[in-house]
Amino acid sequence: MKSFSMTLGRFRLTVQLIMLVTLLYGATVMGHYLSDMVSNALPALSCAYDPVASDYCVLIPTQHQLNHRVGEAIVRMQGFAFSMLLPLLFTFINFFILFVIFNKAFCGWICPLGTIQELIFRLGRFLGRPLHNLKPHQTGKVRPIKWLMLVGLVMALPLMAGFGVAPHEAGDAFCQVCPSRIITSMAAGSTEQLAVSTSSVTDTIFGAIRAFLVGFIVIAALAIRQPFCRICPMLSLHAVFRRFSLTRLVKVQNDHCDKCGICTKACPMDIPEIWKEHGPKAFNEDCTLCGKCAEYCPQDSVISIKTGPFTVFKSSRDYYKKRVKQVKPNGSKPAAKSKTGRASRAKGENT
Amino acid sequence: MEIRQRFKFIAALLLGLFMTAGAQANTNDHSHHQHMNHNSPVINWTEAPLLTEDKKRARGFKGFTLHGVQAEEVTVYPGNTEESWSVAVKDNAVKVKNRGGMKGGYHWIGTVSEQENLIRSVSSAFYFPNPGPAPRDMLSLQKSALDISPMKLPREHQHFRAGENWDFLVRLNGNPVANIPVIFETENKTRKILKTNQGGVVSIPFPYDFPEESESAEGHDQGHGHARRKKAGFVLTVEQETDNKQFISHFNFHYTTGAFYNKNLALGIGFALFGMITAAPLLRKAKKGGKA
Repeated sequence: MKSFSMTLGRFRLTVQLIMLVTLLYGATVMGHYLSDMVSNALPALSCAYDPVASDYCVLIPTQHQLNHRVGEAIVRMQGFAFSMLLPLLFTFINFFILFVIFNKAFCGWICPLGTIQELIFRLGRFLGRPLHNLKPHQTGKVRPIKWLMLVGLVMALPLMAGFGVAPHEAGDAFCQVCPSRIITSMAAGSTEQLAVSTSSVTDTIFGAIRAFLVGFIVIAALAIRQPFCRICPMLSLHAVFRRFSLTRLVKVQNDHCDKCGICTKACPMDIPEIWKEHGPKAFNEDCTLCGKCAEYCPQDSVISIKTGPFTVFKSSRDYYKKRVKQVKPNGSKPAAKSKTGRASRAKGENT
Repeated sequence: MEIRQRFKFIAALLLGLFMTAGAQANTNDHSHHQHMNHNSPVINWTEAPLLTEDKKRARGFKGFTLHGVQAEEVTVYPGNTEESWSVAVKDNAVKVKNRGGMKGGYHWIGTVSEQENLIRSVSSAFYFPNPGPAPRDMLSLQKSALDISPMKLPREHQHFRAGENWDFLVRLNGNPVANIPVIFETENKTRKILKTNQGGVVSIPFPYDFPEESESAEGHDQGHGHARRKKAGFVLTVEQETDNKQFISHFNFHYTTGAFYNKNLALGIGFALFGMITAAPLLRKAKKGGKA
């Protein structure tokens, strides 16, 4: 009989599943208005279009604020007014606290869409699908997309809609294409968000992109880890604050690192910097603080996750040895030993 | 740090500050337009008195028009119900100021008039973008002797929608009234009489009665070029006689078109399948000695 040990990976999965159920279905158990209370506090893609969600993604109000409050106010008043900025500043403090304390941990531990993609990836391993890791130059090409999503879809288009120079539908441009809108609401039993609106050309285009993205991500996640996370504007929003975050990834220089690189193989975002760099540069803009690099680092105390002065988890050789027996760094199960020796056949992994 | 890097860092920081400020601000604020009434100065769809929210927006205020009822003032109950206040009516119109604070988003507005033995209450609900408690206490509070209130009000981003059932509670002096007729009228000319159950609850089925919606609800052409989501008013009226007094209570609010109004599910499934097919090559295993 196999002995069960609680690893960081299992603990994270437990937290993810609890948060997935809580965020997606929380209002059914904890009250109709729960989301109005929790709402807007958690920076994760929990969608307001899910009829029983217990939290609303901050990107929705972000866009609405830029569209209705900032954009329209500028047009109306021909400039900024103190009365417009003051409430923004007050509430900003509240919002900032969550970004500072937990920051990217929301991506790796809380976000329902991230959890769903990880579960699909696990299904891909179970089905023996190939694994496609992004090479460093490919990662470099993908990275700017999340910034474009943030600046273009979350900020510029809603603001332009507020100015009246972009269609009204662009007032929440990111939500219009966000796959979480479909996936989380379908998980709650509603197909409404999959339906493409035909009320205007812009609506139809947005709806088509949204549905296409969902289809693409569901299949791609079987073979690529976290495909949408790589271009998610929430990741870039967290990245802006990661230098101020109390929860952070810490890596110290170690001579063994040059010949190793297991941390990058374990990283679901294929971040080469966690292997090649140390110090602040190792805590990359793409990091989701999932802790896999720390779990699979075979050197004692080289990679750790810290919150303030407290070490939440640090790498150790003993832990690494136990962990690789359970799951390989790339997420697949280790091949079982067999007398015939056939069981060690490759699981179709390529890079 | 190089100047260029430093500039990038400062730019990113400013960007983030601006973003988060915008995000958290009052994050409920965007719902203000959702809770606005699509009212018209002329009410020709019901004889019931109404309190309708003005279409014109003013930050920090809500304007209401009283139809079919004479009142000197209206009473406003915030979501936290800690205090209520009166606002004077002028020319059948009233302007309610947002008092801010942790009062909750939803507010109740109503007026009670008494003429001889007839006691009539007219009420509605509206939304200010305030943080604070859910409107449970506000709804359960007895605002008039005969009271009809929704059991729940729609959450942010949601509405009373065509095709959905929402429960309303009828109470007299705080006690649920069973088997009492409730008249349900909509701006789109639906009129139904329903009865409360033993617990005083009546379930209102919001109809697909928007002019173009009856077709789209049946799966026909979904009406290109129509507005994205339409709103219409409704009113519930309940009447009870007791102790030689006649009580009449009205609650009016708005509802919207159904979930699939102007939407095409087949099109969505088609595009999702297209996305799946596009990603399918990623699932092919590598050939021996070659690429996938």
